[in-house]
Amino acid sequence: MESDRLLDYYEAGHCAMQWRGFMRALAGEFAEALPTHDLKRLMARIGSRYAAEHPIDGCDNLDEWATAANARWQQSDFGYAVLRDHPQHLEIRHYGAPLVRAMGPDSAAWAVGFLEGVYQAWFVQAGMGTGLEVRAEDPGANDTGDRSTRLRLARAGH
Amino acid sequence: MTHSDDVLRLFESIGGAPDTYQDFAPSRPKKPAPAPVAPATAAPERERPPVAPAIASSDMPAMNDALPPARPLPVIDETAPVTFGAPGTTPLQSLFARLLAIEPVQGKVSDSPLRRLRAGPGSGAA
Repeated sequence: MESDRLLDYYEAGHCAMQWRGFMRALAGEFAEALPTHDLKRLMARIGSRYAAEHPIDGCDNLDEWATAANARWQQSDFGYAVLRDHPQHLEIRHYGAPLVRAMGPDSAAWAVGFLEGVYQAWFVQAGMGTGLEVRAEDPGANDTGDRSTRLRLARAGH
Repeated sequence: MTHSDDVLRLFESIGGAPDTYQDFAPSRPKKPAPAPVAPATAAPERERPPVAPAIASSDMPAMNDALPPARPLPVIDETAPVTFGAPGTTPLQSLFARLLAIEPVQGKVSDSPLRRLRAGPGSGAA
């Protein structure tokens, strides 16, 4: 059960105390300086940079890709992802991301841009061409209450 | 009480001192020197099992003659467009191709910053 796994994860590791105050202050300064959509864009760029510095390659199928991605997340103590292949899209549920915990509840609307940027760049590394994009779902859509961050890979909208 | 003692007590209070610190501890007992090893004596030669006589290649059956002729490798046209399930594509590439062929569903996901990144600054793309 994912909620049990999530709780285990939080107990095993959390945002380091010495960075928590710094990250909150950083996020507060960001939020005062930039509007939400620019903050999300900035976080996506940070995510792309993170993916470039933590690349994933050599994966032929989705299971191998998910294993490699979760190995990267585990190295950074950044939670884990569960993937589900739907007919219309690929669903990514990311559990245990410390973003909002580190940057504060007000960052929830834009901190998710980091995950969008990371997953997008990792899929590009796996051979994905233009036309597909990773987008975070609206927090209220199909809320299952499992505290995951939900994203989907699908064809880019017009 | 020295500063080093304070550090050691701090390490011990959070789960033990690191090995590098222990290396500097003056009271660590030294291991006794290993006992000298007696010179090895030649072991008695064992009886070896009989070796099967070598088989000349001319005695082997002509196995290559029984194999079917090798088929030529298929020629892959790298300029051809990648299609779903096409030979030579990985399952991951097939997944990308399949998703790319699906019309997008509007109104269920948030505005993507990545699309704006591709469109460039100030484009106003949403």
